[in-house]
Amino acid sequence: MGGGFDRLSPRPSRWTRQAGASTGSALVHPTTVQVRFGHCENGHDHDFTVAGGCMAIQQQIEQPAARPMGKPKLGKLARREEREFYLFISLWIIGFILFDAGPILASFVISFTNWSMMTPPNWTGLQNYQRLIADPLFYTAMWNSLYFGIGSVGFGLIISFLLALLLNQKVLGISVFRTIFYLPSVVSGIAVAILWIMILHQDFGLINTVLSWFGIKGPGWLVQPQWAKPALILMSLWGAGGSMVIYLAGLQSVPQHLYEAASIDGAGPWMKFWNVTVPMMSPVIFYNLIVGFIASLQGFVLVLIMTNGGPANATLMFGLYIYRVAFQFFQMGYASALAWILLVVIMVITALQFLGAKYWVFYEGETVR
Amino acid sequence: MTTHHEEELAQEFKRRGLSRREMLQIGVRLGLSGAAMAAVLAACGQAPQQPGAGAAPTAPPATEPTPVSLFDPEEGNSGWPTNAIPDPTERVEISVAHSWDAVFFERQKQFDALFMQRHPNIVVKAENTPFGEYRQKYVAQAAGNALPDIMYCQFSWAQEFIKNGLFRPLDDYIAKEKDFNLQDFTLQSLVSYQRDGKLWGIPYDEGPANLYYNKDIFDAAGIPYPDETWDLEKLKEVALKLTQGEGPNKIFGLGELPSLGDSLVAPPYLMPFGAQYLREPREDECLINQPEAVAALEWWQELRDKGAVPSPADLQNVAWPAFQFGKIAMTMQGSWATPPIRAGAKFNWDIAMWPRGPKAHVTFSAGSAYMITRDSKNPDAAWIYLNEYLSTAGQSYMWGITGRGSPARLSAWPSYLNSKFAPPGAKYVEQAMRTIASHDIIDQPTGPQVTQAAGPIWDLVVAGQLSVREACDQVFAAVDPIIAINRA
Amino acid sequence: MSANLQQSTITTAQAQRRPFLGMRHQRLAQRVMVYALLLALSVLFILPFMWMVSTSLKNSEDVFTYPPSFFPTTFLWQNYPRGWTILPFNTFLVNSLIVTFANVIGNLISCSLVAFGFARLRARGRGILFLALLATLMIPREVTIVPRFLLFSQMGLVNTLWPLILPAWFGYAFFIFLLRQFFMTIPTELDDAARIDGASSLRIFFEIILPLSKPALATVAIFAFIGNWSNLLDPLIYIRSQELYTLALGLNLFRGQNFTQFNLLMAVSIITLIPVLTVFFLSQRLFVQGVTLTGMGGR
Repeated sequence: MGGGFDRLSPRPSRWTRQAGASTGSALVHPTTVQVRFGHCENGHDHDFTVAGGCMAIQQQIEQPAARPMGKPKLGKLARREEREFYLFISLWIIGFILFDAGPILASFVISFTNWSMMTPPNWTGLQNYQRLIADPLFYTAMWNSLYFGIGSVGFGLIISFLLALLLNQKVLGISVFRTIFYLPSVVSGIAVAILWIMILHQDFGLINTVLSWFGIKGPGWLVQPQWAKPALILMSLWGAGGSMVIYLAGLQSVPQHLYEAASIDGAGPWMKFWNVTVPMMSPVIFYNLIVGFIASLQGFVLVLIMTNGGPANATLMFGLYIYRVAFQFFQMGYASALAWILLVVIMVITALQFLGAKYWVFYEGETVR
Repeated sequence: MTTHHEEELAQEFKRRGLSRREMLQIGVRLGLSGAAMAAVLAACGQAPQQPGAGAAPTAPPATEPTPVSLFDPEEGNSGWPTNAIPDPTERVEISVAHSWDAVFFERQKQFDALFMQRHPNIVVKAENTPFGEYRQKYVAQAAGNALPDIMYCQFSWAQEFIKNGLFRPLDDYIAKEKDFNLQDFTLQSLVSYQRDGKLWGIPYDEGPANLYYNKDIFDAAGIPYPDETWDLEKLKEVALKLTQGEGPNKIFGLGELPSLGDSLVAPPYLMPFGAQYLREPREDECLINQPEAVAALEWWQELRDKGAVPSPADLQNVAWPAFQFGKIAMTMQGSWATPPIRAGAKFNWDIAMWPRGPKAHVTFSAGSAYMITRDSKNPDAAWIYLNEYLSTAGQSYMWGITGRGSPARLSAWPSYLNSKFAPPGAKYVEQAMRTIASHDIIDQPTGPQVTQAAGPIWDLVVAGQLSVREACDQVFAAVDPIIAINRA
Repeated sequence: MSANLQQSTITTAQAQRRPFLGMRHQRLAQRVMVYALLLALSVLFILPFMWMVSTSLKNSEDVFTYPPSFFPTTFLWQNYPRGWTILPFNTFLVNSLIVTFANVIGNLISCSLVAFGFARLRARGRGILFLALLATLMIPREVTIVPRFLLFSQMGLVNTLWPLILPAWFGYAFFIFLLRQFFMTIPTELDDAARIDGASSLRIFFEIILPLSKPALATVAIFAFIGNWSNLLDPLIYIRSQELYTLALGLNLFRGQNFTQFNLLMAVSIITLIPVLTVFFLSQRLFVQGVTLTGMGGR
């Protein structure tokens, strides 16, 4: 049972547990959780190698199992459950073997060659990785992507959550408003570029005009290297429609009775937000965090339309750099090496997030029995 | 007036089918009575400056227009060359990869249909791919040894693709064809497609850069239009004089300045001052930190310092070229800018030769070509296609009479110049191609790496954070290791 | 802010503490504020779409005014039929519909099954498999697209719609992960009760998990629809014959090397947006509170 406790967020209040309590699972007192919380922190004090990170993800996934894992003898029921698991995920396993495993492994092998895609590759050993260490653009692109990733995911999380709360109101015509708010995620890239060039224009853009009312002289957002990344982050926020939809879906799964229970206990809206909405939504927030990071570290569509990496490489994102090396320099070997380093970085970040998730992500439906 | 417009309209259909105005007008033409059309033409054609709200009530056609051809398939269908290679005795299929915009592809299909009439045993399968994604698509096909028989190729990737063995040499085929006449192509247009003493592609277009100018802005300032007497000092003087106004209505004297991130920068901007970017044609030495190069770039920089050119964030990301917005008095563009300017400019404009510099009179020229690929199963049939497609008749049919312009064959130029829609100054484009065009542009396989290393450094000059001299030194330091491979 | 955000959750218990009229006023004030906020933000979110509409109705010379105009001043509706007929867009539409629907259905079936396995069933190797699942997301597509092309080329499926359809029927990591997260918010007590009654995993999946996950499934459907509807890269790489082009690929053909027909591009873009917006709009009906979930609470 202890394994299950680890996973409880300190946030879920009495109210969030009541749902479970009523149908028979042990009532967990918040203080118990706090104790476990502290324990976990020490327990996972290992350093962050990739392997460590992978283990963290693995642990996070496997932990719900109350029985010790890897024990050779399984009970009849457990064996049946295991069989069922593999049946349920069999489609994906087949697809993984057919369509994913090959290309992924191939890209790893290619990263040790000088493949131009047009002629057969030559084995070059670690040369691509050595080049990468000495390549200043590798660091520039990595820094840009991390900067952009943290900025856009961090602010995006808040903005799209707030938008979802706003659009979760039961008012007339809300479907129309939701559709409008989703528009930026689907309209043509050129239309988006036009709008933002107007908003960000140095001399007569909307932002700098507003700033000038307060006597501030706004920068050349897309012209000056130091302002280009903040400008892109600003733009990315406005396309928050995608994660907004996920939050909206998440908000529908927050049971009403939890709010009712909280109200009976005299909780105000703020308390309910922090003690019911946020913990119940935490799996969805967690998803947006993970996926948002992966997407923003790889993505470059916005950049391609707006700045093409400029000015002065200030917006040269890692994805864009890989694309250029692959399809403009025709150095797929080097591009693959860059991609595998990015994979490692993303994996470490994801592992960190999974580790951190122990302390704040709350699953109502853990596979604990 | 209406008659004049109708005539122009009809010509424009044949000419290029590139502009939106024509498209709307076709709908109008099909769907409306003569009177209604005249009203629409009056609204759209004669008074384009007025928001055409008045056109709205009359515009919607009674019936939905059926798709019609923008081009007359028979116009220009003559004078096809003879073929030394005999037609296949059995039906063969050849695939041809293009990168045309949606409208112009229609002309392509017309050519192919006529070709298949002439050669019943050759079935032509045309593939069309958006330009931005073309390389990615066909490099993937190359990886799978599945290239089309014939493919489009731009000058900037040609050397890389040739080096990687994607194409077949064409010299033997050319030698057999008595009508081919390789001398019909300017030397510059062939340079991009030659490697190891062989020719790997036949150019279809070749664009020298020229000076496009907004006549209205010149007229308003009472300044005479650019002519043969101009030198670059005069260009600078006039550009500064024409720069006026503030905010969204500011008029800029010149559209752009040299950037070291541009592979075409040397001939128009550096060579007139006796300077060069890389040592051509091998591109094995960077010359950008030489005193004359630095001095030339500083000379140009003065125009930026005095606000005579728009900042890169102004206009540039969205529509090319910015000249068509009407806020720029003069711009240097390859001749391929003519169709979009024709379609977009709501003002009078024309073309002049790029002015001479203190040391030389020179401008760049560059273009694109078609090649027969190594994966072709039917190279003979592919050659028959290329031989006709890029013959004088073929280039006139495709690019001359359609108004697209800039055919690579000099003999195809009259068909363009004689079309009513070539601007008066189009003759200077041809003249530039024959006289001052230089192919000393960056086109070796290292090219993309060079420009992408230098461009960001130059961005700092544009942002006012780096001096020209420092930038030249930094570019040298960044570029030199990249081109070291060309010294081997 | 949070006062009106939680407006819908104000309970009767709370309401009783306030004078009746005061509550009504407060509700009215909240409603006005919500509308004001919605309307104000809508303007910002709809502007680029307005630019698309106004551009689609212009003639070529008016396409780019500087500064741009966001509201139509001309109304040249012919751009729509003209743009649509310049290329065989009807054919492209059929191809896009085939690909998109095959993907939506394939993704819904495969991803929900797999997600259920990861969310609800314990097994050895589950962690490492989930890691492999996430890893497929972490490797940038630019470097796997060519090997994958070679794979489909070996299977002889290049220049068919199959490479665009087949993978969806074997799960997609983004959606599997998303559904797993949602499934894990559903209390296991429901499963347990069902299992005690002798229900199989499949029955639990169909009768408990799926009905309670309508908003999540709708989200996957929306994303799968939009993702495939606007997917450019895969059709680009795999499709060579124009008869098999999809809408996204056809749309991009308006963008020439030197010349882009923006008014036609925007006209056709708007036509292709209509199904997307319709699907999104209609899917909102599924974004309602899971009834069963509310029903079981509080006891």
